Parts: sequence; C-alpha cells; structure tokens
Amino acid sequence: MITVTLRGRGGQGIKTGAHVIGTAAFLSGFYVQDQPLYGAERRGAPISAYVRISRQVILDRGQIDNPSLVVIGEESLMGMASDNPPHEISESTVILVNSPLSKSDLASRYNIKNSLIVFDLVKLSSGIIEKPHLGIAVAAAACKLLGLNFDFVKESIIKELVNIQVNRDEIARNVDLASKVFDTISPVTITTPREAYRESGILEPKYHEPAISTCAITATGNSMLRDRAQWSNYKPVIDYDKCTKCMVCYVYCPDSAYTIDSEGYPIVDYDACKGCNICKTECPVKIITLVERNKR
Amino acid sequence: MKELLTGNAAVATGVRLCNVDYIPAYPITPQTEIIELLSRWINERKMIARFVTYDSEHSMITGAGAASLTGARTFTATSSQGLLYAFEMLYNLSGWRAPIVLANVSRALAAPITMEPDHNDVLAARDSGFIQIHAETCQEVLDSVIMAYRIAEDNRVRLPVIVNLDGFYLSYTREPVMVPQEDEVAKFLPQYRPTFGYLNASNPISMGVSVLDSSAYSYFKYQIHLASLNALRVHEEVSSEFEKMFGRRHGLTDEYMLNDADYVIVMTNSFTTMGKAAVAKLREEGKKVGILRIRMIRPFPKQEIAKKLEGKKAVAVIDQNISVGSGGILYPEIVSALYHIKERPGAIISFVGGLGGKRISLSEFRHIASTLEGAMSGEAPKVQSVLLFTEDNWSSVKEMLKIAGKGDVNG
Ligand code: SF4
Ligand code: SF4
Repeated sequence: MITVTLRGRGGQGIKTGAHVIGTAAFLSGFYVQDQPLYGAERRGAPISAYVRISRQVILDRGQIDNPSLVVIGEESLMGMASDNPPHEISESTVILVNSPLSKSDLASRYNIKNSLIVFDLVKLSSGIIEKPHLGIAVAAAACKLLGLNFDFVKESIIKELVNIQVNRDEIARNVDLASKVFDTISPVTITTPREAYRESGILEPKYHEPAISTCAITATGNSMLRDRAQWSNYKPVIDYDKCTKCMVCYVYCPDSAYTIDSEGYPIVDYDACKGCNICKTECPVKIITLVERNKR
Repeated sequence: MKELLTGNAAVATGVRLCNVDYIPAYPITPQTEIIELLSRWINERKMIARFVTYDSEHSMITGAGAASLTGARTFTATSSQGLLYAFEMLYNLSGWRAPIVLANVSRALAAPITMEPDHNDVLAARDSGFIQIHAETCQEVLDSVIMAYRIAEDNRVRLPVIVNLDGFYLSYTREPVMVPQEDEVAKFLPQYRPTFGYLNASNPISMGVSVLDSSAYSYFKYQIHLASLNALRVHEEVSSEFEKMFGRRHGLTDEYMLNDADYVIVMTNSFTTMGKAAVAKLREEGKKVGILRIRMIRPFPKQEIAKKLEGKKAVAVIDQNISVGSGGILYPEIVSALYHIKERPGAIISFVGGLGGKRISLSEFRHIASTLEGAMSGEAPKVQSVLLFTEDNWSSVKEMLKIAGKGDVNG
C-alpha cells in the first residue's frame, strides 16, 4: 500500500487535491481510500488530507502515521510544531513541497535528509492562470511521483472540479497548469514505508481532582503559542488620512483584532487578524483595503 | 457502476435510489454533506422530492414522522447533539409506527466537544423503538439505506430505522462503492403504499392518542417490542433477496477469520476495519483470533451472537461508547446472550475504546489478545471495563494539560 499525506491551509483546495489523487489512482484500477481532516475548519488554518492506494482491499482507516509521500502546499507548513495532528515521517518518506526556494536551501533550513522534490507554483502558473488552484497543482505533482498516467490525472481533475462547480474555462486552465507541473517533476521511487507501528503499553488513567480533570483551560494567553498570523492570506490596511475614527471596524471585528490608540485611531493586531474581510466591508467610508500577506 | 463515494454521499445516493418523497433537514457536522447533496440533486432535478429546512432537529423529526404518516417515503439525517435534541420525538415516531429512515452520523457527545465519532449518540436511542443498523464501509452504508426501507415498511415491522455511520472514518472518507441500477432498486423496493394508519383528508384518523388505561399502554408498547423482534426475521429475508439481486450479503452480524478462532473480538461500525487488519497481523504471529461484528444493534440478535460465539475459548467486547458509572453498553447485552448456552466462552472481557474517535492501535489489539490468553491461563480478568488508552496517548494528554495551565500531572 502506498500512502500520501497532504498538508495545506483551509481554502487552498487540499481536500480537492486529495480527491484528484484518489480519483486518478481509482481510474488507474487501484483500491483507494481518501479523507480530509479538517482541524480548525477555518480558512487559513492547517488542514491535512490522506490518500491510501493499494492493489488489495484496504484494511485501515483514518490518520496516516508514516506516509510514503508527504505533499506540502506551502513552506510555512514545514516543521510547524503546533500542527494538528503532527505527522510522523520515516527516512523513506518522500517530501514534495511547493516553494520558490531551492532544494538545497530548503533541505538545510529544515534539516531534511529525506528525498525532497521542490516545485514553484507561482513560477509555473505564470502565463497560464492568475489564481492557480494549489490543490490541483500539488495533486498533479504527486500523481507524477506516484507513476500515474496523465490521461487519468486529467480525467480526474475535470471530474473533481466539475463536482465542486468550477467553470469550464478555469478547469481548462488548471488542466494546462497540471500538465506543466506533471512534466516538470522527475519521478523518484516511492516505497511502502516500513510499518509505523510502535509498541505503547496500556495505561489506565488515575482519577484526578476536578481542578485537573475538568475540561477547562486555566492558562491565559496561550493562543499566542499558535502562529495564527499564518492562518490568513490577506490583511486589512487602513488609510489613516481618511479614517473618521468611527470605530465601526473595531466593533465588527469577530476576532477582536482591533484596539484603539490614544488618538482614537483603530490599530490592527495582525497576529490576531484572520483576514475575514468584515472590517473592510463594514467601514462606512470604504478606506480599508486587503493586501496579500507576505508569506514564505 | 463503481464510484468513489464518501459515506455521506453513499447515504445520499441510497436515498436518491429509494425514490424518497420528503426530506426534512437541519444541518450538523459531520452529517451536513448528506442534506447538501440531496438539496443539490433536487435543485438539479436529478431527484424529485420535497426538501424542507426546519428550525431544529426536534421539529425536523416531528415533521418526518408526520410526513411519513401521510404515506410519504421519508428520509432525514442528523448526528450527535442533534439526535439528542430530537430525543423525545424518537419514541413518538416508533409509537406512531412511522417507517422513516434516519441516517445518524456518529459523533461523540459534548462536553468536551469534538467532531470525531463514538457511539454514545446512537446508543442513547437504543430503547427508542428505532431499528438500528450500524455500517462498517461506505458500500454497506448505501446498501443499508435501501434495505432499511424494506424493513421499515414491512407490515410485520412498520418501525423507523436508524442507519448509523461513523463521522470522518466513513462520513468524509471516499471508498469504491458499487452503485446499484435505479430500475433494479425500484424492483427490490416497490413504491410505498401503506395499507393502514396514514393521514388522508377523506378518511380522518387520530394518531398519537393518549391511553389513560395502563393495560392499553402495556399492550401498545409491547406491540412495538414484538414488531422490533420481527425485524430479525424480516432482515434475513430482505438480506437474502438483496444478495440475489445485487450480489452482496449483509447479515445481522459479519465475521472475519471467525470460524477456527479460539479468541474473538466483538466490535461494531467502521473501526472493525482496523480490527481486521490487527487480527490478520495477530494470525501471522500464530494467535488464533477472529472478529465478530454486530451489524444490527436493535433488535439485538442474541441468538445469532450466541451461535457464533458458542465454543470459543474467550471473547473480548470492544464498546466504542461508555455508560458512565457502568462501562461498555453492549457488553452486558452480549454476556446475557451467552449466559445460557452450553459451551459458554471461558471468559468474556469488556473493553472501552475509540472514544471521541481515538484510533485503536495494534498495541491495543495485542493487549486485548494477551488479556484473553491470560484469562484462559487463570489470570483473573478485571470486573470493570478496561479502557483502551496507551502511554503514548497519556503523554500527549499530559502535554495538553500543561498548556491548559494544569502544571505537571502524574499519570
Ligand atoms: S479582516 Fe476580519 S479579523 Fe482581520 S481585522 Fe478585519 S474584521 Fe478583524
Ligand atoms: S470603520 Fe473605517 S473609518 Fe471607521 S474607524 Fe474603522 S477604518 Fe476608520
């Protein structure tokens, strides 16, 4: 059995990516199982998806612990300690990353000894599609590594994008991009990883006093431990010259990302902002713009 | 045609094939995909049915019962807290003998809140009079919806049916599913034509009447029980016909390497797939373990369970639920099914595992197998249910407790 884990962010199309890999393998005659794991169910929050591909009926379910191939949608997802769930990999796991960085840069930055394949989606998509569907692109790359035939990959992309009601022009562009990605990737050997099994003894939890055993959080401010700035692709920028200090943005922000400074101007805490666009929509004088965040 | 379908899509596809007339709906994760698909198909005219969104699960189930009593084939779906919110109406629907099919996508109950599955939601409804079929695979989900209408609408039963599938492990998991032909399903499941007890303007009747006479209450309540017990036989008939028509058999129970097994693990629902993989491994190590999966939970197939487990050395029951203050819910039912047989297993041991969707690892299955062997060599098994929980699980919980501000907690 070959197993694939995809990691991306809510809204990037990682679930569709898993479906594209799954359907392409299914069309190629394999037994397939695929599944997204939504996590925080929020745009920008880390999300995982799994694909199992086998010649026999698949006797497993749920999370994949030790995948043959890990597909990473953007560099910010590499080595994220607070990721849920953490994905254990072994030395035989092949890692595929979308990043503008070179292979050697990435390998040294994250101390990766595994077989590493890097492709740059921004570069590959220029001239083909303005807003590439990341899920489709990573799926095409993964399918190449898995040795699937592009005819099936193409059929699969069309099927999955029709299913989520993408229009024809955009499907055609994504197929073009997928074919370009497919051709750039040079195949490597993907193996069935050694069993992820590790023995862990049974432990019967003891009774703990309610202060411990009640499901409540007593520590304050621990959301700082999570790098939420990465959960958002856009951030609001205020044109202070035109701001009337009406505080509408402050009131509407669902994440209380706004504070008011001593002169009465609204200030955004970009670590808390999720880029939801509500303040921009609500600002009565329309002076908030959303700009893309600079992310790796 | 074989297709990759999620468990949710398998439910929706089954409902479409069954030519359902009325679908009252209310969203809840991880069920929502079912009603989204159905509403989309109705909108695209791929399906002719009336789809109505309600203001809560309580009204939704009430609406489902009322619609069913007008003679409409009715389907609805919910999960977890939604099922509990509808709770009092479940008993009413079985009392009205309203043969709806309800898909429950299992999700563990709050608090603490989670999205992942265990069966405290659906098993809370075990005494409600609903027939309960619990599925392991997406294929079985689709097939069970079709079979469910045949059972529900049979005059020997005439009761509502729950088809249960696990959240995430089935609901969002795509697997190859053979989708039956529409005309074949129509042959297997003819149009619903109730012969009695349905609301009709020209033939007024009162439903849900009060009985102030307690013997009348006893009579009617016991009739529901008898109807439920009849479902065991009706299920067998429906199952054979289904197999003849579609080539797949779904019995009251399902088994894996059971025949020559000395030790048996009893499970339900989608985690059984992981159990099968573990059993295959244990067999390689020379341990004669097998699996019995109980598919029909209500009525409870006591005789069949007794037949399958008679003569086995020892049995482990994994309950993916917990009756707080007692232990696994199905364990005592299985013990009582085995009590009077001649060659009763030497030990029947209760395990509680998979709570909140926690995967059951090979380590834990190994532990079960060695506990069974130990019980046969004279080790006294625990009276209380044993929780399937590992040192690794504890270290991750410990870490979370620390972040939550509870300091270093000792296990
Ligand atoms: S974009 Fe949304 S989260 Fe960010 S500041 Fe505006 S309202 Fe708040
Ligand atoms: S809503 Fe617009 S004008 Fe009002 S305080 Fe915010 S940015 Fe300024």
